[in-house]
Amino acid sequence: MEANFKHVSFEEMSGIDEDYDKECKYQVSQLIELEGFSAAQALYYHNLETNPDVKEPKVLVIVGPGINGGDALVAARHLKFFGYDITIFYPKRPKKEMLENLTLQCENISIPFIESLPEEFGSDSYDFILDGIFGFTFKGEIRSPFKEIIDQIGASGIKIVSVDVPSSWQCDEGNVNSTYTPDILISLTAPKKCSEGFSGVHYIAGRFTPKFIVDKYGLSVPPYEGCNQFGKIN
Amino acid sequence: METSYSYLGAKEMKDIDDELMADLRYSVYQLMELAGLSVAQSLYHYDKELGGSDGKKVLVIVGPGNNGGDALVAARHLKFFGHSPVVYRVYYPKRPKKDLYEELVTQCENLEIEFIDELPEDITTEAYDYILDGIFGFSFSGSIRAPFDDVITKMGASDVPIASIDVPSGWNVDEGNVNGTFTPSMVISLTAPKKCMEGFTGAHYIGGRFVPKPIIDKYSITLPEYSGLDQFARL
Repeated sequence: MEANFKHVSFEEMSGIDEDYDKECKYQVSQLIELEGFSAAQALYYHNLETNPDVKEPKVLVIVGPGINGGDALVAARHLKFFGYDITIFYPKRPKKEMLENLTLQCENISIPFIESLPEEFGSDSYDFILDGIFGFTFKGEIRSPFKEIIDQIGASGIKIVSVDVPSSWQCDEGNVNSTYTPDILISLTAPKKCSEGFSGVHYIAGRFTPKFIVDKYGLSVPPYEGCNQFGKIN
Repeated sequence: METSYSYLGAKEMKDIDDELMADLRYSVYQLMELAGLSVAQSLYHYDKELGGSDGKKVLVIVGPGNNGGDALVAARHLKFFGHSPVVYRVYYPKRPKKDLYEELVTQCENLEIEFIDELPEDITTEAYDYILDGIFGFSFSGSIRAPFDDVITKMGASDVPIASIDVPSGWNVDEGNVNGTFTPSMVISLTAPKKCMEGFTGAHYIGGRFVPKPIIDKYSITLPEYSGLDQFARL
C-alpha cells in the first residue's frame, strides 16, 4: 500500500498547514487536539493488535520544545484516559500558553513528569516510547539535551513510536543525523518524503483533512474504518 | 443489580465547565471538538446497532450557542465517517458574530456539507434518517421564543428520529419537558446525564471521556465505563 502513497515534501506540508489555518480556519488548539487524539488511538489500536495481553501498557512520552511536543502532550492525556500507564519527560518547556495549558491538563490527571531519563532503561521499564521531540520542521544539528536523549532512546531497545517524523530526521532528506529508525510511525495528515521506504508499521492520522486539500496536493487517503481517526498503510 | 448513575443540575454543570476552562485551562476549541466527536461517534454507533450502513441523511439543527457549536463539530465528523449531514442554522434575528461559530461553519463548508436556509414544512423520513438536535443545551431556561418555537414544533411533528445533544432542546435542565415539546429517540449527555434525564427511556449515551478524574471525583459522578477507544458509553 505504501509504495503508491503520496509522500509530501516540506514545502507541501507547509502549504497544507497554511491552508488548515487560512482556508479551514482550524485553530491550533483544535488541530493539535485532533492530531494528538488520533495518535493515541493509533497506538492503542496497534497495541491491541500486537500485544493484546498487555492491558495497561507503560509508555514513556518524550515531549519536545515545539508543536510536536504539544501533539505528544495531547496523546499522553488521551492514552491515560484509555487506561495506559503514562510517564512524561519534558526537558525544555517554552513559555507558550497553549503548551503550558496542555502540561497542566496532564498534571491534573496525575501523569508523572520525570526530571531526567534513568541511566539505563530497557524494555522492562516501558512497552513503548512515544517520540514527540521534533516534527517536520526540524533542520540542522541536534543540540543538547536532545542529542543525548535521542541517542539514549535509540540504544534502549524499547519500541519507539514517532509522531509525524522520527525526531531529528529532516522532512525531505531523511535520517541525515543517523539516529534511530522508529518501529512505528504515525504520520500527521500525510507521510513525509523522509518516510519513503520506511518498512516499519505506519499509520496516518488525518481524518480531519478536507477533500479540497487532498485534491490540491494529490494526497492519498488512507483506509479509515468506522469512527477511527487513523488509517494503517503498512 | 441496577447501577445508579449521577444526574447533574444546571448549577453543577456550570461549575464543571468553569473548572475545566478557568482552572484546567481547556480551551473551548478542545472541549467542543471532543464533545462533537463524542456526539458523532454515538450517533454512528446507534445507527450501526440498528443495522445501518453509511450515507445516512442527518438534518443537523444548529442553535446559536455552544450546543450549536457541538452540532457543527458533530456534523463535520459524521461527514468524515461517511454519513450525509445537512445543516440548518437557527438563531436570533440579531446574529452574534462569534469567531468560533464562523470557523466551525467554514470547516463544514470545506467538506461540501449542504447548508439549507429553510426547514421544509414537513420533515419527512424520505428526506432524512435522523435529526441531530443542537439548538439548546444545559443553560436553556424559560419559554421558547421565536424563531425557535416554530423549529421545535416542526421537529416534534416529524416522524424522523431525533438525537438530542446533551439536553432535548426546550427542556428545562432540572425539571424536564416543562414546555411540552418533543421527546427524542436518543440523547447524548455530555459529561454526565442531567436531572431532566431521570426516567428517560430512549437510547441514552454519554460523551465526555475527556473529563478528568479529579472533577469526576469532586462532583461524585457515577458513570458507565468507557471501553476501548470509544468516546461514548451507553447507559
